[in-house]
Amino acid sequence: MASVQKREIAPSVSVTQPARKRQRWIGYLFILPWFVSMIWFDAIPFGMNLYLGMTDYSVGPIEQANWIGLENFERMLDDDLFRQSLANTIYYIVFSVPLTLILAFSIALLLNTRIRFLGLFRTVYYIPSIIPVVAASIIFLWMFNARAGAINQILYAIGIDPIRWLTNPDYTKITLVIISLWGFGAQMIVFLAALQGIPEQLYEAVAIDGGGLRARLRHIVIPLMTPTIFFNLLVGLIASFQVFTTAYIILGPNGGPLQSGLFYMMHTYNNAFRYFEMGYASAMSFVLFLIILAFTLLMIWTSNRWVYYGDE
Amino acid sequence: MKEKLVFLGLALIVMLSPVVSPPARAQAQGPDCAGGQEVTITFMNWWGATREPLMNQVIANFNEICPNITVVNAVQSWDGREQLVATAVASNEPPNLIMTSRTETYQFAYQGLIEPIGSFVEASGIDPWSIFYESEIGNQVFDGELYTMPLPTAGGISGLYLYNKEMFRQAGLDPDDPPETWQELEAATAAMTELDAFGIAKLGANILLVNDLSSSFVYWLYTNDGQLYSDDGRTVLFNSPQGVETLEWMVNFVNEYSDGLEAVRDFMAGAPDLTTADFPLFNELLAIEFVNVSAFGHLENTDPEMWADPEMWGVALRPYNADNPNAKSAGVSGLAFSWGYTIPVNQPQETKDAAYAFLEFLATAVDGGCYFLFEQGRPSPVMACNEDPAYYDANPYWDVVLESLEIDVSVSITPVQGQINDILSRAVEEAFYGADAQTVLDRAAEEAQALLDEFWSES
Amino acid sequence: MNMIENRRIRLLRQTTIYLTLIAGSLVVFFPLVWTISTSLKTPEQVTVREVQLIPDPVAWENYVDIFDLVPVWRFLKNTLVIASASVFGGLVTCSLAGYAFARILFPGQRVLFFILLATMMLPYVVQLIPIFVIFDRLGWVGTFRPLTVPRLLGHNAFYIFLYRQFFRGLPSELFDAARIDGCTEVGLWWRIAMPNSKPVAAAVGIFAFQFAWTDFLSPLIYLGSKQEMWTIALGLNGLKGFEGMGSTLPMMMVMSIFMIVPMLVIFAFGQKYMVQGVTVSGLKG
Repeated sequence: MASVQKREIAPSVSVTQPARKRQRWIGYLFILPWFVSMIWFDAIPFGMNLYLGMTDYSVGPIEQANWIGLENFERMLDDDLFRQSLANTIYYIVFSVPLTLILAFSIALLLNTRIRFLGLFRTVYYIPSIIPVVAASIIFLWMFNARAGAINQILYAIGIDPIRWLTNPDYTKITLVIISLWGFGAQMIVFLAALQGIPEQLYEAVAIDGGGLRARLRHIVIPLMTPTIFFNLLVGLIASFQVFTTAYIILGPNGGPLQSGLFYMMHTYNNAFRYFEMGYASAMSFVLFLIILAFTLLMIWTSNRWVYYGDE
Repeated sequence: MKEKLVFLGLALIVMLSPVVSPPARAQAQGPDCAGGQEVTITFMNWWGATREPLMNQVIANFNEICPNITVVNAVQSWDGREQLVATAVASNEPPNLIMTSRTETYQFAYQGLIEPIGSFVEASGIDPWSIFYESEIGNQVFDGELYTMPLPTAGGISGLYLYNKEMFRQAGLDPDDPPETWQELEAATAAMTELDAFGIAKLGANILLVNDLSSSFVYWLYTNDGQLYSDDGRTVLFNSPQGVETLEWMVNFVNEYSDGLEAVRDFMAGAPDLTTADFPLFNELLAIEFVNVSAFGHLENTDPEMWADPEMWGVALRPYNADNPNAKSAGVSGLAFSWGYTIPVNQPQETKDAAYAFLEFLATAVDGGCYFLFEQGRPSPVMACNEDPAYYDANPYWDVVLESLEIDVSVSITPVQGQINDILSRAVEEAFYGADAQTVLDRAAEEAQALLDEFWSES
Repeated sequence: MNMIENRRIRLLRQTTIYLTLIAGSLVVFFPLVWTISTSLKTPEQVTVREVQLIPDPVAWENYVDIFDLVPVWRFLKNTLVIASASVFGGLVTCSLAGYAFARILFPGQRVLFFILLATMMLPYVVQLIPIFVIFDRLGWVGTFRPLTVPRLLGHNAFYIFLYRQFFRGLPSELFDAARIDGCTEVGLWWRIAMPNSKPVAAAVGIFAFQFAWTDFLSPLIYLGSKQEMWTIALGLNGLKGFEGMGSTLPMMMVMSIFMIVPMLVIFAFGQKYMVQGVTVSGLKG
């Protein structure tokens, strides 16, 4: 009797309860392959790195490393380059992450309009992402060359004195930020995919209300894209903290004039592979992990204010 | 009478034959080719795709003597080299023979990762000290043990400069009387440098390796009777009065005659190497450039017209400081690269034997290393190879090249040299940006000395 | 009056869009032009300080000679093996995991998701050595396994995170309706989640292919000594010497073109799925 009543009053409860038990088990199965790979290729190496960070490991079989406790971390406090490289990295992030995002978003919007040859245009804008580093680096080195490079030649033609993009310590980071914009492709693709999830009716509704493009943007596109913007910002932030290959190729392993382009990961790399101080490098990378973690938590915590998940 | 003459003639020939016999050929047989067993060894090297055919020929020549040893020529790309080497030596199955720079050789020797070759050499019966130039083989000794043999030369990288005779003529200078002293160099540069709105239009002399200021400084230091370290490698000496004088001279030279460090870097920028057609020296835009001995091969390949005409280009020794009575032209050996081929300990004895057999052939044999380097127009670390008359035919300035090898001095380095290089580079750079030379050198010396002390106390 | 004005506004907007896109295209297209131009030069024509776009004479034979210099087909085949594993992992394993994080409630889901995010923050440069050591002790160095197995297992937090965001954005009613009909979770994934996420799947497919195609460091340290197993990225860089690159630059650019073309094809194909209407356009009620 009671059970019949229960079913009538609250049908959802009894119908989904056994289903929830089924859900739990399946969930683990879905993530099992990733979980296994995570243990082997993330967790264990992370543990090893943490251990190595407290040894004097230099090179060769890791069994030869000797325990030295927190010495590596103490050393970081005295290391001028630790501070300088961190400052350089933060400067870079502050400019590169938002600018790349805005660029990628704008281009994605343009490539989402109803124009002819859309597929062709989209493919053309994908090209910067796939130019091999070898070719791209030569092109950038030429482009920013103070004497014969395209940028200075154009500036000179409009009356601006040549700027020493790559040799003046005050300009190297800006140059690297500009070069980083070249990597807008990945974020553009994510935005393009996400834009397709905005229902047509919403655009129509705005049009009926008499709103133009700007209204569409403000009231429909941007609010609905906040989860994707959040995603790209987060991923962009995490990636930017680890940037160094471009700077390495363009400015050299020491970050160029007065080490103005020495990023944190470059300093870590130098210690790991050029000074044979792998233990110290491991300690440095652990510190970077903590810093990224802190920034990420901050981002997630503040995201509740501006990210709008349509489903919630 | 006639028989006496014939006898005398024969005796003469017999007596003179050791003098005119071909250059001493090392015992390429080696330790009897690893006992004759069938072995395969992996030879990890960075000679690159352009020299792969040459290396394959060397291996083929080796196989004529040791057909039982298969050598896999594992040529690698230059990018990612440091990471590849680090993982290779961390492996349980490292390559059997690895091409390592001197710092790496010393670091791996210090960590006990590579095999000293003293016993192999003894078993083979050769005497490396009589085969190689002293500084060349000395560079491959760490803590009293020999770990490898050199190829190419560690020397011949700093003692020479290449100059464009045409530009000399245009400026009214005598193309056959290139600068020999710092002071003459200044005068020549002043005469040949022109500036424009973008910086330097024509540069007389580029005295720097723009991306490696520490090496630039050290090379000039030795032409001012200065030293990087004491002979035992334990004390820093580069902040001596000679060092300060050298640095001040360098900074003044660049500021006075070429509009500052940034202008020079911009002028030389963009893959500044001798393998591109727009390298300034080939286009009458740069008159003097300090090169290493690989330059001749590059010159031949990139600008064959210039190479073929000795009236267009010349070679001379690095100038020394005429104001310093003790100074003379000198080169520095063993600071950069200084390649050797090391044998990781983590492998079975047969492959070690085979690796050594190939190493010895590669480094000492006439149709091994000598052939390999001759084809590139470079001198060999083996003394006898450099007397090959064919070199003289190919390169009109060959005796200058040999002279530069004679004036090379070996630097005592330690495994921490990589870090010291960066510290010194930063100090030199700060001087170019206006800092006081004595202050920056003292500070760099302090840091470097601390690193050296730490190293020596632990070993 | 209104209609003519509307049409004029629309025409203006369209023209602006076209002009902007075309102007930008010239900028982004330039590197490809430079690459093609350099690939058709002979070594003496290589310049890095100036730009001379039309080589004289044009070295068409570079595209034939490259096959004598580099075993292009073998490298392409090797790269395809790795790329297939990467794409499969991206489209299947990562998608399943992303779906679970988005749509299945299981204990510890939040913690595990956070761990997922955390794995993206591990600096890879230093992770390199421990990961190598693990593979070395397993005996997998010198095989394709270090490059394929993690991908097949879905070891890519970025894709999983991406899927999770998208699956969360789909209307719950879709899933609830099917669930009531007795659909299994796998069925929900296959029949509801995936078909409504073609743009995301296309994006992940593009990324997975691109990454496997261009990855240099991992193939280098795991396949370095075995040239017959090299990928084209290794083949490309293998042409670079340590004393200047002028002489091999044209050939390197030929290899670059071989690398670029397949990626452009995959992208052109994938972006077709990034159109309106392949995601659910709202359910009423």
